[in-house]
Amino acid sequence: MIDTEPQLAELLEKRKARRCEPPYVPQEDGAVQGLLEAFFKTEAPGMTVSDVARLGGGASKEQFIFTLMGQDASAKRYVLRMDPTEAITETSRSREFEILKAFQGVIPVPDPVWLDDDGSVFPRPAVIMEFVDGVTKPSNSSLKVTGLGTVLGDPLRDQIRPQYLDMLAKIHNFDWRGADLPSFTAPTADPKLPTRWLIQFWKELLEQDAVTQEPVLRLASQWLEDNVPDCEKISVVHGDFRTGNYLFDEASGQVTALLDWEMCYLGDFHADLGWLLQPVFGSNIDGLFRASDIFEPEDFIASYETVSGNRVNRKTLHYFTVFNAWKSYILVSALGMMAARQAHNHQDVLLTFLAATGPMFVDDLARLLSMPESLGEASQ
Amino acid sequence: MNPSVDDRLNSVLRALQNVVLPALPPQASLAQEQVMLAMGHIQIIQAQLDATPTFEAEELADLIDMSHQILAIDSSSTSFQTQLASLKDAMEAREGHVRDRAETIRSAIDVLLQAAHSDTPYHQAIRDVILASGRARTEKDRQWFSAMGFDAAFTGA
Repeated sequence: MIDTEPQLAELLEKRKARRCEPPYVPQEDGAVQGLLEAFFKTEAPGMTVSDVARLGGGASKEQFIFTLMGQDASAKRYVLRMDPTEAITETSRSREFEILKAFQGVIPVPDPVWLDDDGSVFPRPAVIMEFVDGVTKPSNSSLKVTGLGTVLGDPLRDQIRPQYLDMLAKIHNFDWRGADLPSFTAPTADPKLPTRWLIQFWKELLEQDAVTQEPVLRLASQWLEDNVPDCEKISVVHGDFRTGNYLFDEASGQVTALLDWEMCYLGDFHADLGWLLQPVFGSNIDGLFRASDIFEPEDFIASYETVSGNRVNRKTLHYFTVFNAWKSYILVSALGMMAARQAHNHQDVLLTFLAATGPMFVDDLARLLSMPESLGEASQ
Repeated sequence: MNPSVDDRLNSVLRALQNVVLPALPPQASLAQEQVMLAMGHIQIIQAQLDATPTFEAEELADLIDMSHQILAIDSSSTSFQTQLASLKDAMEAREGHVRDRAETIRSAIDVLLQAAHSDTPYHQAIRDVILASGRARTEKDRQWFSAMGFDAAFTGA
């Protein structure tokens, strides 16, 4: 077993066994209707499933919206999120369910209602959550794959900005010790353990799924292992916090739900900061880069410190900037490409399209590893 | 006359655009998205088609050039002669598809990097070569994939 968070080490072992499975066939709406009916026959007898329809967007899970009607004729909309055989991410539905439950009432998130953690009813592990109204991008924006490069524009930028900071601060300052998170293990043994576990998890994914032996990636893996920083405060890390991963009401700019918690873990909050500051998740208009199309980088860091009260350590932020370029490459050029090669996903054509971002991350890594901050003795 | 690759791909694009896409029901969002992605892929492949052999040959040449630079580093006091010999063999191989030859060189460099990790000065020297060559190479790769529309440095958005 890999020396990482125990629940994730188990996940890594299970995925090896799936590698030999036959090609994945996307679920048809009619088949999903049958699966949902079978599920609710035991979970909520008397409820009726209707209006099953596939949801677009996203690059990892099969998602369907449906209506559940009670015996008193009350109807409610829900979303089914189900794993394909392999995907651009390797995550746990139990963890997603638990963290969404933990954040109810803290920040706007969908309410998870049912869980099939081991795929005992559905073909693969699945979670069902309440449907939340909202959009991930303005209706007049051009087609962007998985929300990359979304431009909010005015007045949404100013409307969403304080909510964005507030959500991030509340995640990073959340009292996870008091929450019910049995599928998470807190890395408390030593200050380097949170990030050491993180690196080992992603390195193992790279080893399992690399379709090419890119030399810059090996250098990055070595640098990340040699320079693990101390984690001064163990926080909930969202793992994919950025514009494109929250819903908002277009008329008011009110955020209705923060989505895509599947890569969430307990670790160093700098990881979220390095992630959302990546060029690929921002806009570049007339030479001005805005992270999530909201913040210039220094403005974001200063604002985040003010709102959260957390001090941003520049050396640690640099470490996680390298980490996130490395992680991004692993997602699109290793996991995504391997899933497509194995025909183990419902949207191989999207995964091979996204893999074209790989050279951007290799370029980022080569540039970052050449910076003075990356040179010299292994740090901290 | 044989149908050209362009003619064949254009006919596939027209079928997807004019027949398949309009026939999809409005609620078939995944199918619509995938047809559009498939069309995007085909258009970009079409634009790259003639240049692909040159692009791949240049990629191999860049790897060979990087390998020359690595082999030129003084390794007399190191214990990596086996790995270096493998790299030299990979670099000098003349058989096989250029993509396979390129991957064999990458794998040989990877093995060397792992072996040399504990030898700080030598590893540092290899690292300097790889990072400099890597940036020059990724500039070409980013340009190659710029039509996909992700790279703000090329799309300006």
